[in-house]
Order: sequence, then structure tokens, then C-alpha cells
Amino acid sequence: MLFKSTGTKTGRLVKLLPLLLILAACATGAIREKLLIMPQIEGATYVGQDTCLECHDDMAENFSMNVHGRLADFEMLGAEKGCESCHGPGSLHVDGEGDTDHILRPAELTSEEVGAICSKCHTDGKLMDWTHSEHALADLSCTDCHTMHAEKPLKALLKQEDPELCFSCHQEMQAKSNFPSHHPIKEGKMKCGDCHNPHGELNTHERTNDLCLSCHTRYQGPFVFGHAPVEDDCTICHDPHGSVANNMLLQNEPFLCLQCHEGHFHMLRESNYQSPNATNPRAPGTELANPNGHEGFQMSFGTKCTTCHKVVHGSDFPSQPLSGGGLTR
Amino acid sequence: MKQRYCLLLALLSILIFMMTTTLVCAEDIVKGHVEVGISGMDVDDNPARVNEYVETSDEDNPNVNPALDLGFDYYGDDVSADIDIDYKSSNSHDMSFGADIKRVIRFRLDYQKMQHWKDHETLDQMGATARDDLGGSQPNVTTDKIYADLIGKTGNPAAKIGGTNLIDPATNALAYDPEEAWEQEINNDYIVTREELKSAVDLAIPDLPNIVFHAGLRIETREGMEQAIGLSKCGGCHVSASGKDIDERTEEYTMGATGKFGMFTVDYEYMTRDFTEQANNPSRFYVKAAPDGSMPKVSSLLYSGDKFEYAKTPDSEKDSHRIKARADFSSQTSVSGSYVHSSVKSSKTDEPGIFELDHKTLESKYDGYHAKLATAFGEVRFSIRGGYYEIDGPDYSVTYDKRATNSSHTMDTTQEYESAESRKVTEVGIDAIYRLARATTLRLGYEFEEVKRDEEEFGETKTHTLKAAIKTRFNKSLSGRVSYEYQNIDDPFVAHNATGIAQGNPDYYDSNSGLAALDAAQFQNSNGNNQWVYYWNSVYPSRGFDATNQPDAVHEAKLSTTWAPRANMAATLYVRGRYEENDDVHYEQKTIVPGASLWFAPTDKLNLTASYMYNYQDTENRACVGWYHG
Repeated sequence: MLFKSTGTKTGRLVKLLPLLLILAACATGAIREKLLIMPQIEGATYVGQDTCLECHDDMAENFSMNVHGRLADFEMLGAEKGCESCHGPGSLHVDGEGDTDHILRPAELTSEEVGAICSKCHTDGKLMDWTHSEHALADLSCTDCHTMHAEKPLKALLKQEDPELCFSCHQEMQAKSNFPSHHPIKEGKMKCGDCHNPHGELNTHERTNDLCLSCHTRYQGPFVFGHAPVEDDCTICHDPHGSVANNMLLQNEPFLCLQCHEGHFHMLRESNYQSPNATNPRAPGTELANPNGHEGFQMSFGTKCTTCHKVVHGSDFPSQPLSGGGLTR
Repeated sequence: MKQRYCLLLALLSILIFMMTTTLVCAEDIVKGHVEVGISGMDVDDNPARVNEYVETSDEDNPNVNPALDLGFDYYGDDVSADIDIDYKSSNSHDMSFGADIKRVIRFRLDYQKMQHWKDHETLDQMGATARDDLGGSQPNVTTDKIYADLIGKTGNPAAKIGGTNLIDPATNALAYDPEEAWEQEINNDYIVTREELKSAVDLAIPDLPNIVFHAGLRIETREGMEQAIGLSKCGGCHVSASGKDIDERTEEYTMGATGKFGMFTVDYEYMTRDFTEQANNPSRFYVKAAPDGSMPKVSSLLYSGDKFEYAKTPDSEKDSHRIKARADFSSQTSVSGSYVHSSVKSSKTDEPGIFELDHKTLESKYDGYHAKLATAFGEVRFSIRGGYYEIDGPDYSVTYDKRATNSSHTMDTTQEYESAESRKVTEVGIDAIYRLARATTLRLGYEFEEVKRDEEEFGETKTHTLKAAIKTRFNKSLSGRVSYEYQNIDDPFVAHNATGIAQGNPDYYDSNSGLAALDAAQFQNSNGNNQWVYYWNSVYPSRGFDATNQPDAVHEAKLSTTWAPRANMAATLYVRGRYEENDDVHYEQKTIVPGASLWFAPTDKLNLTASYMYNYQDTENRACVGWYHG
């Protein structure tokens, strides 16, 4: 049982819960609208959407393809519906024969004013943390990415598709998505929004590893023989935006691995083997043929650690040497 | 290919017919587009290919594929629907469908198929043999190709080249033919085909308008083959590769609800995810260990002389509960909080006679609590955040069985393991955004994170982050942003005294073994001279260094400015500089990334982007490689 009543006080609270829910349900969108005051137009009153369309009839067709124009009455919970829901009461605007000083125009408002208008409704799901997002803290406005009156509205009323929209500001990420090793963004199989919540942080409520493992689930483990940096943070070794090194590694092997691990001594060993001199151990032995040249050891141990330590993300099988943790099996 | 064309033409005809019939309906709106094209690619079947995401055929030689992109949107009074199909080849296509019925049911379905070419190593670099191979003795580092070449050059049978190490004791026959194994492996195509089906539905009941119910599913399959490389040790190392079948399936189901009660918003979601690998694990013959007296000795190996599975992908399942709530007290002030609980389980099997586990299921649990406050005082907005999460990873022990055939490991050895992901993390952050002018803001921020890892060896990391940024719009066409960030990281993730291979860390392991037990002064040559350079007095001390690629101080500055003289034209200049250092390990990294971007859209259908980025990164770090003294 997820929740368990453990005492008298808790039991009373549980009994009160239905009553609290009923009271909360009565707090409808109308009350919310009064509480969450958006930018004010002093003295203006609501005139209704039909009045707006007398002049702005060109908006009618576009709005029928826009989710804002298709909202049902029950979704508004008693709040104002239609153009004035976002643009504010329009009586002074009408009386002033279209005076734009007496109507809310989001493109002319500050980011927090626009945010106040949108958060009348958009406080759930991925939008719950908007106020604390990097975009909000960087003074981005909802209207920087979204447009409400597009002739051909895109999904989520974006101004451009993801990733083009994101790349219009994050040019470095656009370049990295074209690096030799990259997620399939330019191939159209992934979008920035698959990992990032532009209204929050990452698309996870846990730590970064959880986000990676939602697709790379084969590395979720837990493994019997783990690799500490894998369990700590995937980005210790990988750059998810793209890299020159294979498998989106921060650096090529073996340099990446050698920053935490000692290299096998064979890496400095030459392969010009001589057989021991049986009569005098200090005397040179007989030079033996090595078809792979004198650099055989250096190439074998200095090219790519994960050739042998293949299961570097973790393993359920012990490696052959006694310590078991070499991640070779 | 012929069948594919026929299907496409049929589908196209149906959709055009639908569009025609719907267009005659008054009031309803139908919009659509059809784009047809051809794509081609010449595929060279080189095992070391680097083009990971080939969208056309996986066949050799030039090939041509039809490309089709079509989409239709329907908007009726009560119902709206949209469908999009993007077909590039039989290995690469996307489809999405959405419907909205009276705002009561909102449904979306997405399907995607793609191919991913995996690495294919030729192992050509693995020829470290140092013995007289042509004479037929055992090479020190070998691959199947080396064996095969030796067999070809000498005319000797494989059993003679590989010696008794390659004899399967169960059958008393050669464990495998290296030449056959090599030919088979090099001819494999390592391709994984990924298919993903995602669906989500929202249900809003008009009589219960405060609550919207959600449900979703995601089914992902990955099928194909990838390269599995195995390593076994006898006189030296035998490295060989084979194809590993991939048949992974991930099933993820979510359900939850969102409630809006006046100033309160509450969101709950339950997710369960089941990951299974349905293909058999590959197996390989781990060559017979050399007898005691040779290197490495039988006593140093856990197993040999038999076939064992390897490259296993473990099944796992995850369940999570997430509840978030937000209260809006005004347009500027809101408080939100969340609680997340999740657990990941994976079943394990041990190998009697080699190793035993005391827990047959390993589990990792996550519990996280976070709270946030947003408010404003005058022209200053504040974002204040705090959180705590705890990961309780698995603790377990592995018992390695005694080796029956050696004298030095006559007892079972038990080793305790604790997952490196077990930790307690505290996070705090505050940002203040001051509106200097209508289009100009100054942001100052501070964040603190403390990571207390249960695994003592990896320590506790404290990170202090300071941020400052100014964003301004000089006029309607020119804007810019400059920012600076400094991080001070106390004891970043590091392997303490860990550069030595299996030497044991004196801080955390038995001081009577490994490096801790060594006293360089004890080592003398035959003349009693302890000043000579020996492996143990010159190399061992360096094998106790800390090692990490993580900085303890970071400085990063960014500058970006955009000039947009017209709505369809923009030019951006940017530069990012980053400096990381960690004096404890002699780590230093410098990054400079300047760039420029030009965007011009002469029509709605045509977007032109030209950009240039220069990425310079220079990294220095200390590395340790012991030298071989004979």
C-alpha cells in the first residue's frame, strides 16, 4: 500500500480529504482568473469574441485550426474564453476604434507579463516549472518560441519546428549535431525536445543518468560488476550533443581512459623478443621473428581500451583474472 | 522494391481520394501536402564504417529509394485529426497520427523506424605477439586472424598452432576453427533496426472538468546484430569477436491525472518499464590456462578451458511514482513541490564453481523531494529552489570459489560490493533577475550541490556555482547577451590513489597487502644498495596517484549578438570560452568556440542557413603507465 493510515490524526485527515477535494473543485477557473491578475487595462470590460471578429475576421479561419480556438467551454472552468482571454477586455480598444494602447499585445509585453497571461492556464505537466527554467531566467518570453496566429500552425504553435527553432539560438549545438559522432538529430530521428524540456530542465524528474537510460535501457543494470563513472554520471565520458571521438566520447581512447586508469605496462614495451641465453642470463639471447613488428604491444594496448574491456558499462559476468572486475566478459 | 512502390501508390490514391471527398463538406477544413522524391546512396561494405545512420538500403553498391512526405490535417466542428508520413526507405520511416474528439479525447500515435550501423572492429591492431609464431609456439596476444594467418603460412593444423589451449576438454577436439571464425565475423553486417511506437491519450470528462486523465505507452524494439569481443588469457591474451544477436524489447506504460483546483495544480504519474533481451547470449571458448609455473598461472584465473557466455545484456524493470503540485498565489508568486520514488530491479544468476552471489536480484531505489518558489519584489524576480534526493543502490557480496587445481587459492574468497550510484544529494539555488530597462535584464544566480557518495572511495563532492548574465535588446533589430559562470568544485568525482592496476588502495583496503605493504627501502640489490632504480621504488609510488578527468574550478564566458534587420533575415555572432583546471591531478582544459550564422528565408518554403563554427579544445592531464622491467 502506497499510503497507509497510521493513527487517529491521519485517519481524520483521510476522512476530510473528499471534503477538501469538493471545496477545491469549487475553486474554478473564474476564481483563478481573479487571483492570477494579468496585465490590466484600466476601465476596460469584456465585449465578447464576436465583436473582435467584426474587424479581425481574418483571424477566424486560422483560429479554427489553433487549439486555442477549439477549446471546449468545460475546459475554461468558468474563465473568459476567446480573444479576450489572452488580449484582455477589449471595450476601450473597440471604443477607441482599434486603439492599440488599450489592448494587450503579447509581442509588446515583457517576458513576465506574457508569462502571466499564459500561466492562467498553462501550469501543469512540463510547464509547471517554467518560472525556474533557464529560458525564463534568461528573460525569454513565451512569444519568442510560440506564435498564436500562424497561418499554418505547427505542433505546440511553435514558430519553427524543433530542432530548427532551437538552433536559431543554440548555434554551437547545431554544429555539434553535425560532428562525426552524434545523436540522429540531423537525420530527423530525434529532436532537442526528446531530452530537454524547454519549459524546465531535462525530461526527467530524476538525475541525468535516468534520462539517458530511458532509451539506452540496456545499460540500466544494476550490474554485478559496475563501472563507477557510469553509475555516477554518463557525462563524465560522453558529450550527448556530439563529438569528434567515436560513441560521443569526450576524447578518443585511450586518452579518455588513461585520465582515470593506469595503462598496462605493455603499452611501453617493445615486441622485439629475444630468447634467454641459457648459459649466461646477462648476455643477449637469440632474436626471434615477430611478424607483427616491434610495435605490436604498443598497438595492442595503446589503441583502444574497449577492444578488450568491451563491456565498459557494466557486466554480470566476472572477468577471467581473480579480481573479476575487469569488464572483459 | 516493386511491392514497395505498389503499396505507396495505393496509399497515395486513397489519401487523395479522401482529400477530394472531404473538401466538398462545407465548414470543414482539410489541408494537406504531398512531396515525392528520390534518394540514393552508394554503400561500401567496409567493416570499419563510420556512417552510423544510413537511411537507404543496407545492400552494397549504389541504390535508389523513393522518398515520400505527406501530411493531412482535418478540422471539423467537433473533431480534428492529422496524419503525417515521412518515408525514406524500408529501413527509415516515420508516421504520426493525432485526433481530438470534442476535446474530450485527445489521442496521439507516433511510429518510427531507423537503422543504426554499429562498430565493426577488425582487430588488426591486436598483433602483439612477441614469440616465434612461425615456429608454432603460443603467441602472447592473438586474434583469430593471426591464428588463421599462421595456419596458412606454416601449413600446420590449428591444434598445433594453438596448442592444447584450444582443445575443448568436453569433446577433446579443437574448440573452433580460427579461420572459419574470422571469415564469419568479418563478413557480418552489424546493424540494429530500431522501431518505436509511442501513444498518448488524454481524457477530459465534461462533468468532471477539473481533472484530465492521462495514459501512454511506448514500445521500443531493437533487433539485429552487433559485434561482441571477448578476451581470454592463457599464455597471453586471445582476443576474438563474433556476432551477437540483438532482440531487445522495452515496454513502458504510464498513467496519471492532472487536477486544477483554482489556484492549485496537482499532477500524478505512474510509470512502469520492462526491458528484456530475448536473444541468447553469445558464448566463446576461454582457452585453457597455462599450468603453474607459466604466466599467468592457473591460480590467477577464475575459469578456463571451457565455453562460457559473455556480453550479456541484463533484463531490468523500473517502476516510478511522481507527484507534483503547484500553487499560484498571484501572477508573480507560485510555489511548487514534487516527490519522486522509483526503483530499478534486475535479476542475476551466478555460476556455481566460479562465483556465487548473496543477492539474486539487485535493486536500486530513488527518492527525491524538491520545492521551488518564484516571486517578485518590485523590479526584481526571484527563483528559489531546493531539493534532496537519495539513491539506495545495491549492496551485495560475490564469493569466488577456490580453485581446485592450485595451491595458492585453497579457500573461497568473498568480496563486498557497494554500488557507486548510492548517494545522498542536496541541491539549493537562488536566482535574481533585475529588469534594468524594458528590454534589458541582469541575472545573478548561485547554486550549491553536495553529493555524499556511500562508496567512501569516491568521496563527497561540493559544487558552488555563480552565474551572472546581461541580456539586452538595443533596438528592434539588434540584441545581445553576455554571461559568465564560475564553478568551484570541492573534491570532484575521483578515483583516489587508483592509478595502480589492482594494487589496492591503502586508504580503503587492507594495509597488509598491495602498495601499502611495500617499503621501498627494503629492496636492495645483491650489494646492499637501495639507491638503484627499481620498479618498486620508482614506479610504485606513482601508481598511488589520484586520477580524474573532472575539474575543481571552471570559468565559462559567453557572448552572443543577433542582428535581424528584417523578419526573414538574421545574423548571429557568438563566442564561448571555457577554462577548467584541477591542480591536484595536473588537469587543465581550454575551450574556445567562436562562430557566425546567417539565416535568410526568401519565401515560406525556402530557408537558407550558412554557419561556421571553430571549436578549439586543448586538454592536459596526468597519466600513469608503468614501464616493463623484464
